[in-house]
Amino acid sequence: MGRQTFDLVVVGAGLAGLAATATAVAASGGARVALVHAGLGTFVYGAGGVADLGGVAADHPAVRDFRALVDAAGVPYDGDLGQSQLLPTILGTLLPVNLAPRSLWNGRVRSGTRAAVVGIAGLSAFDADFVAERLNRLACGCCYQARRIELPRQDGLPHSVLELANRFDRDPAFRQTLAEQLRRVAADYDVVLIPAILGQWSDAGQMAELETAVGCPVAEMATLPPSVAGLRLSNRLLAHLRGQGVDIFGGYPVTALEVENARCRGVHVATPGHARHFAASAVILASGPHSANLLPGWSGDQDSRRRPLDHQGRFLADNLYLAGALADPEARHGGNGRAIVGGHGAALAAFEREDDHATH
Amino acid sequence: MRHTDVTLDNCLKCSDCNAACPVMTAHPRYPGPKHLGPELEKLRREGLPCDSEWLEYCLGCERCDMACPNQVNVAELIARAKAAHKKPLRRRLRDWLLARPGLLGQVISLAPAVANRVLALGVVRRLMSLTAGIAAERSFPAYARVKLAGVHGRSRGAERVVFFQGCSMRYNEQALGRDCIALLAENGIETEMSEAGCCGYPALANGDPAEARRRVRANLELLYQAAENGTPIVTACTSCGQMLKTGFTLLLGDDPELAAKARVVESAVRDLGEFLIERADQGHLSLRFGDCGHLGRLAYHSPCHQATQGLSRPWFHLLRMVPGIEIEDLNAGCCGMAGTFGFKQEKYPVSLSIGQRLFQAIAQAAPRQVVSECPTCRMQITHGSGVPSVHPATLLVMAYEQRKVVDGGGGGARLAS
Repeated sequence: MGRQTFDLVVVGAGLAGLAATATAVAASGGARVALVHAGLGTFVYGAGGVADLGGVAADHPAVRDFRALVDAAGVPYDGDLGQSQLLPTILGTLLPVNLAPRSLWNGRVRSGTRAAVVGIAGLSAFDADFVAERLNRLACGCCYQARRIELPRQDGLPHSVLELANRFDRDPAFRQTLAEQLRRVAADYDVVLIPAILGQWSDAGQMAELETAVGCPVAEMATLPPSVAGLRLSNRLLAHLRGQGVDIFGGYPVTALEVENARCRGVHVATPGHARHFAASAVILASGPHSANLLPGWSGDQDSRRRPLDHQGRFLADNLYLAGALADPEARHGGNGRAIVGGHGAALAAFEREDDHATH
Repeated sequence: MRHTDVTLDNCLKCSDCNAACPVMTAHPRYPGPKHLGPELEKLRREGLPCDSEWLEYCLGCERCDMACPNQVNVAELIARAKAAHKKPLRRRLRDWLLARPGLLGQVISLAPAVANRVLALGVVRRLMSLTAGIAAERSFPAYARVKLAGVHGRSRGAERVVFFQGCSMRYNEQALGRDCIALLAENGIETEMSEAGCCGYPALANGDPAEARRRVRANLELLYQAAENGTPIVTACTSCGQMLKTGFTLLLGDDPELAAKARVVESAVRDLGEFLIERADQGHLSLRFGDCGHLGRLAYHSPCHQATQGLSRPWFHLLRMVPGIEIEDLNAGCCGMAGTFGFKQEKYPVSLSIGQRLFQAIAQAAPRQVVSECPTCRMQITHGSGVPSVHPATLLVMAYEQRKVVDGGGGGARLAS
């Protein structure tokens, strides 16, 4: 079996795993961190909005650190934990959110705003008339009008959000055409709402460039999974962490945790040819509720340091921590917020323990 | 890795695979891995006709598999459909040849000097493009007659590895082979150059599973004894590595006896970078590196088949252990070459278009050399960006030799160009 040693292994690349990894990198200074994940998962289905932190203080360090992370990764968030606002959805409903990626946050309801809901001819995933009509019915104080733009089709084919996002990433002429089309619409409005198509890899700089060319804020609305906004967040955060020295092992599931005498020695990963063993001083399990089967004897409870407990109330391992939906199975709306706080807390607990260990 | 049958229904149609597919960024009509893989597979299993020329456009990079949250073997489903795909005669003949780089190498290396000159002629390349559908824009790698064989770097009590060369090293890059031997010798390891031929991956990629099966069947016998004795089978080519770790079971797994042997061989295979980083991890890597500041700025490209082995980027870390080395991880996706794919006339524009993101990243990094393990990635990098490319093993050997120069003992140090 192949073997590599890390200071910390984080399992799962959703918001909890990403927050845990980033916190560990920032808190440890040069620790060897591995991020192991079995695929993209549900994180990319949404758009990364954070709502309802369930009693977490607005100035919680997890939130501060998360915002520093997304800034550094080029996908900044806007908003305020203390105050929830309403974001329009492609179903013409309003979703209460406290923090969201900037391009989505631009679309929040602000009284007296005139907003163009811009459909793209040939893109069936987004119906501007439907969205505008339904939003107006909600009488939220904004005026929505459906508009439509034409973008050059490739080979006369209908559009898809992925195709548009890939062209936004790759083709400067396409970005320019999009900006020109939106500018023509934008003249009469305070903001333009479009389906999320602004690139799988684009950063805040490219968004700002587009808005300058359009002449008003451009707001994205997440479409059906996988959401381009979610993919962008995932792509840029993973690339940022890789740039910070994190080793990312994607595509293969963790099949077992190696626990011996209440100590987690590492994880087994089902890689081709031979399984690989990642030895670790600490392990954070943030791979969703289906990973519960990696924790035989787990009662479903955890201690104050996020370690899973058995039915007698003893931790399964003194260096094994939980984060995300696995730790918080009841979290539905507000899961992202808890994932950020949980990932952050688990990483701090992991390194705190190591410090204790080192000083004794 | 034979879990196709249990995972077809695992496809939730989420399109994460489409989002990760390099071809989808470059060809508007490409239907994508979700459609060509699990969607059409359901119809194929019903015996419904749904052959598609688009199957030929799958690179086999397996980025779809890596993205899938539900472990569906999307690329394998496409590869199986590729095997049944009907091609017109001209493409069939060309792909027959491209599926056999070992045969090509054997023939050309009978008279390499002549062949290299002929293959470099513009008129010959145009002719090949017209008759055989080989992109005239591509240059063929130079072939050589010299073969690396036997055991090298013998020393008392040394550990031994069996080295799987692959066609590129065997016929075109013997210097890299010697670098790998030197690298292992420096670490007290003797290298037995295996007689095993082509890994079979090009045959699989060109929709020729019968040929692929012949190759893995022959290699199984040649590699089994060493694997059974616990000798690591090491390769410096990431696509050979991917094939050696999965192909035996994939192609021979139906026979219980061969399946057992296949598992023994597959579990003995190590990518050279993987082998060395694990030694470094255990404190068994020689760190007698000299300063390599003279190499100037380097940029690292990780091949798709590095990630598909679940390896992250061992070579990047190994090179960063060398004092003075300045190297940036490009992390800019697939290069678009995909082995023989980029040589095909009708696929050439798609191949270059996929590589656009990488070429831009290289232009931005402005390195003196690009470092990458995969021989065809390196061809594409140099072709698309104009920047020379090198296998990381060559640089690591330079680092060892640099130290010997400083220490005064070792002659024959190579100068970086």
